[in-house]
Amino acid sequence: MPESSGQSGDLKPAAEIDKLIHEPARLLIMAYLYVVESADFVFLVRQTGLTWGNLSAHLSKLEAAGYVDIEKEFVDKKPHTMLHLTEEGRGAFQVYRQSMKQVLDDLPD
Amino acid sequence: MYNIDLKEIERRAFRSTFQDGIWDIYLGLLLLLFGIALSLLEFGIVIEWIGVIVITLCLLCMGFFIAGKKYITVPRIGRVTFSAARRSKTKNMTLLLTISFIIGVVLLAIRLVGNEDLFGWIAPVPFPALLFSAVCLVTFSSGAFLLDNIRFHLYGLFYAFPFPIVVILKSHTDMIGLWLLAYGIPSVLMLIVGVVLFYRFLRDYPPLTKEVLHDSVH
Repeated sequence: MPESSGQSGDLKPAAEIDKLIHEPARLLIMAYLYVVESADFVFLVRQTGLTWGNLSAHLSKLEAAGYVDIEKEFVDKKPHTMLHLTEEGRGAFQVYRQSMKQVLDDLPD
Repeated sequence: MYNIDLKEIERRAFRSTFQDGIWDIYLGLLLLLFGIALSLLEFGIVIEWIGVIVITLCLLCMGFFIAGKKYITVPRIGRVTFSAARRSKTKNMTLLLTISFIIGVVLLAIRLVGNEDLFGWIAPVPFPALLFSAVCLVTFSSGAFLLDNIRFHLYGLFYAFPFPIVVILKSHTDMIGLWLLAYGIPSVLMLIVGVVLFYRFLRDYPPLTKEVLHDSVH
């Protein structure tokens, strides 16, 4: 079965793509959180164009996966939520980028 | 979608914090303040009073800037902490602006007390005027680079040129109001740019309503 094993070898990078990050809205959220140290909900709503509820739902999934850390803090005595990527999230995003690059580079012209 | 330019995303996010026009209005007001201070001297106001007026107006401008950022910009575009590299750039910019502001104030004070000979003269423009222009150009060009804001190049010219131009004109004419005219025109242009940007910002980024903040439909 050399043909099939060769095929599975070629498709390995594609199979390793992190499906959680691959979703466009979550990819956008991860990209914004990757380039900054931390940001709040309002900033992400403005930058990504997602609705509040949509953003909240995606962030819950990313938080459950351990990619995003949600921190409650007080600004001017008012509760405020800041978000940042965890080390695991940063690592996962880097791996995702490398995997995607490899998959796209390996595509025939 | 998958060809993500992270540098561009970061730059766009950073630039979004400067699209409120508050920097433009603030710098325009400070420039106008220079013109007002020099004009008051021309109109024979006592230097101590000019000092009080300039410091008061300067504090008002700073108050406008801080309050504008805190109560208008941040609630509308959100709170963000940029990367250490970006923060370092911003710190350098703040340091540069502070140093150049101090130089500007010192040169203005020298002009106000009429002790221009302190630096000697390079005909036909006095050395303080040339130094002031050079500092403005270097500061604002650095600002344009550090803050990714191309308008700062133009503002550098606006800050740099009135001083030497008026000094040259003053050696040929006794016309009253030259300082106000020379500083007033560029500062009004900056204020117009700032007000237009500010209007656009308020229009494009309305405050998030409670309904939006608690939207959980999607």
